[in-house]
Formats: sequence, C-alpha cells, structure tokens
Amino acid sequence: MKTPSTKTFVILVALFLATGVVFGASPPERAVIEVKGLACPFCVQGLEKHLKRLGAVAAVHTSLQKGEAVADFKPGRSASEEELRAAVKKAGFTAGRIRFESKPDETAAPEDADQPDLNAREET
Amino acid sequence: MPRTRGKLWRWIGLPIVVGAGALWTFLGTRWTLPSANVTPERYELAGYWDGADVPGGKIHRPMGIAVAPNGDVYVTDARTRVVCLHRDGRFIGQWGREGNGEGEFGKPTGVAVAPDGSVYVSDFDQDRIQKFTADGTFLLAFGQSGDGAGQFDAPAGLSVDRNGFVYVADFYQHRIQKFGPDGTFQQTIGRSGRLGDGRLHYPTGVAVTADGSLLIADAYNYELQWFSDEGRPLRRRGFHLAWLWPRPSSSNKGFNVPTGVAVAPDGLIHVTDSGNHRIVMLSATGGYIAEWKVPDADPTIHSPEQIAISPDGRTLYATDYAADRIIILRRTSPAAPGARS
Repeated sequence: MKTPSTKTFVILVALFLATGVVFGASPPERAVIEVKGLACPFCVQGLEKHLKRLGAVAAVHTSLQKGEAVADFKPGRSASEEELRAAVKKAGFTAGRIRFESKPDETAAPEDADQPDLNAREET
Repeated sequence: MPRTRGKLWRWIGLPIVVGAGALWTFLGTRWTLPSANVTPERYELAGYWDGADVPGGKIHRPMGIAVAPNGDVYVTDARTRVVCLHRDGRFIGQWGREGNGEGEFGKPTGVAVAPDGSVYVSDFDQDRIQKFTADGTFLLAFGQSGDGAGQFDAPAGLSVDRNGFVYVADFYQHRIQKFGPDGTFQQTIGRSGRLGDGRLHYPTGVAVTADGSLLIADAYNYELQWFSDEGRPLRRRGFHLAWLWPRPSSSNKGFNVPTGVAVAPDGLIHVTDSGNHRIVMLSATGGYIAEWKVPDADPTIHSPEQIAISPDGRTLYATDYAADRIIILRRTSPAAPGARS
C-alpha cells in the first residue's frame, strides 16, 4: 500500500479539526445589541421589557454608557436577529450591530452593566 | 446669475426671507414657557441620601418617589423594592422582592401615597398596580397587560387625589388612566399624538393640583399638560416650533424630556427636566421661575427622574437615577399663601 503523502495527511487533519468545530459548536448564549439613543431610564426599562417578552430571553442587561443591551438566552434556546431587531423597534429604538456570543466567565462581573449586586441584599 | 437678478435678490428677496424667518421664529415661540412675575423663589441644596443604612444595599437606580402625609418618603429602586425613609433620611422599612405574587415586583417604578397613607406602586414590567398599607402590607392589585380599559403597557408615574382616585401614566399607550381607591377603572384621559391639546407622547409623571386638575409630565412631547378632573385638555407648556411642533429645549423656554412633576400646596410646580439634568420651578400656570442643575451630571443618562414634595411644600425630593441617590432641595423664601401668577 502506498504511504499517504504529507499533503494528504495535512488535509485529513484539517478536515478532522473542522468536523470537530462544526459538531462541537454550541448555540450562542447571548446577544449583544447596539442601540443608539439609550439615555432615558424609562426607555431603557421599556427596551428590557420588550426583549424579555421574547420566549428565548432569560434576562436583559443594559449599559447606558456603552449604548448596548445584552440579552441572555435560556439554556438551549436563542432568538433570531430578526426577532431581536423587531423587539428593539417595538420599544421605540433601532438596533445597530448584533453580536451573538457565549457568556463570559460567570465569576467575572459584567462591565458597568446596569444591574444591582443582588448578592449584597440581605433577607429582611 | 445676471446682475439685475442678483441685485433684486440682495435688496428685496433676502430681506423678505430674513424677515419672514424672524417672524416665524418669534410667533413660533408663543407656546414657550413665559417668565412668571411672582415673588422670587430659589432652590438651595439641602443634601443627598444614598440609603447607606438601608439593609440589603444602598439605593441603586432609584425611579419613583412619594411623600406621605406624615412626611415619610417612599422610593422604588432597581433592587426590586420599595424603601421607606424618615424625613431626615433614616431608614424605616422596605418591602418587595422579584416575583409576580402579592408584594412582589418585576420592575417597581412609580409610587404614590393616598391621603389615608396607603401606598400605590406601579410595576412597569408586570403591567399592574399594587396597593399597600403604609408599612407594606399588601391590600390589592389591579391591571394587566393589554390595550383595553384598565389595562396597561408599562405603567409609570402615578398620583392620588384628595378623594382617593388614582391616576396612572400608561407609558407605551400614551394615555392616563383613572381608577377608584379599590382599583375600579373610571376613565381614560388623553390620547396618543404629538400635535395639539390632549395628545400625549410617552407620559411618565402625574400630579394633582389643589383645584383638582391633572398635571402630566408629557416626556417626549417635551412639555407639561393640564387636564380638568373630567379629562378635558386645559393647556400645554413647553417649546413648540410654529405653535405646534413640540421640540426639546435647554433654555428657560421649555424642557428636554420632563419625566416628573410635583405641585406644592401654594400651587408652585416642580419638574424633573431629566434631559437637561435639572429641576425647574414654575408658577401655577407654568411660568418659569427658577431652576437647579445637577452638578457633575452624567451627560449620557437623563436624570433626575421623579420628584415629590413635603406636606408643607418647602422640601423637594428627587430620584437621581444616574448617581444612585435622592436629591433634597429646599425653597429659599417663605411660601406666599395662595401664590399665583
């Protein structure tokens, strides 16, 4: 039997790695939505409310300084870009770029996210 | 351009255009805030509260604020709760947690106190109003999501008149809804629109004047609007280009997203002009008197949000969402009984 050439070997390894990427890829865990004009807290609450109405969204964090809303998806679910844009439009805004990504390390606090530190709250 | 035509334009056409533009601008400011001719009043800063002694964390992103007949101050904040403070800022109590049961909230936003001391809280996310005793015991809830009578899409600021009727700003539906003390629907006031009396565009704040009129912070029409207790539009105050088109303003001619309003016993009006990061004092009919600007305000966040006034009308409390604190202002001259302009 003829020994595979180096070129063939490299191609096989590349195909093997690509397969791993395809089948190992996990669905996005959140969407980061650029939204211009985020300044009024009532409007921010409204934006969060409309995004949370999407069945796939578990929580929404907004950053007024960054001008973006981050929608965390429920495990195993996600919303399409069209759905996200429609929700933002219903809230009275226009969505800019939308990035789908995995959540960062859970131990790291989100940068200047507009959320209170709920762990600091004592039971009363 | 031929020389003759150029001369015609320079000596006839241009002055006509400039004159027409000046006339248009002058006449277009008819509905701006006129200067009021009343006894000079000013604000002075009395201090800030950050709720450092509140169990469960300092005040964070406060939105609604109200003062009880005994002077206690109620605040809603992003920790999904209602906090009660003494008039000197000391913690008294708090209630609320995340949930959709009795005494639970999604996003508590507006808060108002009735003459009998009961407390109403609007839930922006859950589209309902909850009523509590002064110490937070749940009494009843009313409202649900929808566009029908008695239904809400993001209830925001609210107020209670001397007869116990509750007025709620229905933010996304551009209207005010009136309810009885038991939550029974009474009527709808105002409707969606940008132009003309009675048209509302994202209303956020409500106050009741001494004569029973309704005063609305019509946030994205950049104006205040008065309605009679029967819901009839009475007047508007703000900057309106060419009489009709509401526009934001940073001068004493108008507002930039006024989100909260309170009326003192002597009739003077106090407005949180959130987009201009200031609190504005007006006469009873909306004439500009004075203002106080938030020092070092974060330019990216509209703040302060809502405002409430002490029973004697001398002390103002405003929620400074951007700085996680309550602003306390005092009026600097004695209130003239029945002062009007």
